[in-house]
Amino acid sequence: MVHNRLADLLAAYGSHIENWPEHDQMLFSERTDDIQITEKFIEAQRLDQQLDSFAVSSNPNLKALITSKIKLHLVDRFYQWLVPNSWKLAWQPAIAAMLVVLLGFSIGIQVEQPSPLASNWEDQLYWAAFAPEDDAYE
Amino acid sequence: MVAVSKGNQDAFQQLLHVHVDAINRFARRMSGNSHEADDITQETMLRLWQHAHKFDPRRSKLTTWLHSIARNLCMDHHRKNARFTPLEERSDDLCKGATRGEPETRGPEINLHTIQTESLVHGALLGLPERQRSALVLSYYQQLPNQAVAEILAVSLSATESLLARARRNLKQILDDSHGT
Repeated sequence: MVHNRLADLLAAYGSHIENWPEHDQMLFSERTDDIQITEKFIEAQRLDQQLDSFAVSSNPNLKALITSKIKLHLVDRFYQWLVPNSWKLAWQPAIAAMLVVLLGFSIGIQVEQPSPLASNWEDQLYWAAFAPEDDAYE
Repeated sequence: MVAVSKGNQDAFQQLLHVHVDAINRFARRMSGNSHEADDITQETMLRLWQHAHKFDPRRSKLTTWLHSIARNLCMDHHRKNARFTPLEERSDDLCKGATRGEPETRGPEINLHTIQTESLVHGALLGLPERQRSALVLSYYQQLPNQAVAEILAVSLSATESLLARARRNLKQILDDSHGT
């Protein structure tokens, strides 16, 4: 049983015991005298050496490149705030819309409505023409 | 991640610092050339920035999520290009530097034999079916636990082990054949 499991582990994970599932790592030390397992271990080690030779480095400029792509202009930031990509942030456009309504409302209140009779002198003359000729009732 | 999802660039910088190199090395091993790998890495990290709100820490770890995105992008590139770009387009910087874990500089002693061996192994990896290659790179080089590899490949733990065994067996066969020719 242990022999078969060790053979499977070597076939799947190779000779780096630290890469094996934790609960299986102790198995290898139990069967170091097993010749077949030792042969499989050496075979796996040979393949691992070849795999280890394929080393790659990462591009050191990537961080700066990615950072430059996420740096947003003020207009973009405002747009992103106004049109968020999550429903959880839907309160943002709601607040923006409410602010616009409130602004319009406050402007509307402040504007003084001119009297239709006193808007200009022509209108005053026009309305004066309807006035009674005698002032007897005064 | 919560801060990133709210557009906090400093929080994103921290995540970028932790994950970008690992994702880049994964993409370089999975793809045929460094330019393509760099594009995949950028796209992966930009998706993290744009879709951070979709990440659910209860479902997976961030490393698993990022490798999953990167693998999907590798497959998209593969589909677009019909096949991965062959080794001749692979730039020298792909061969230099790191080990299978953390990056390190190997120095000027890299000889022709080493580069040839690296090219052979890379060629053999590219010769594997995609799922086997993914399993091997994620488990052996990226050193992700079995649970994470299984999650990324959307298979069971036993299927992951079986994929790994097949990948190693096929890789050995390809390498033996190429040494024989």
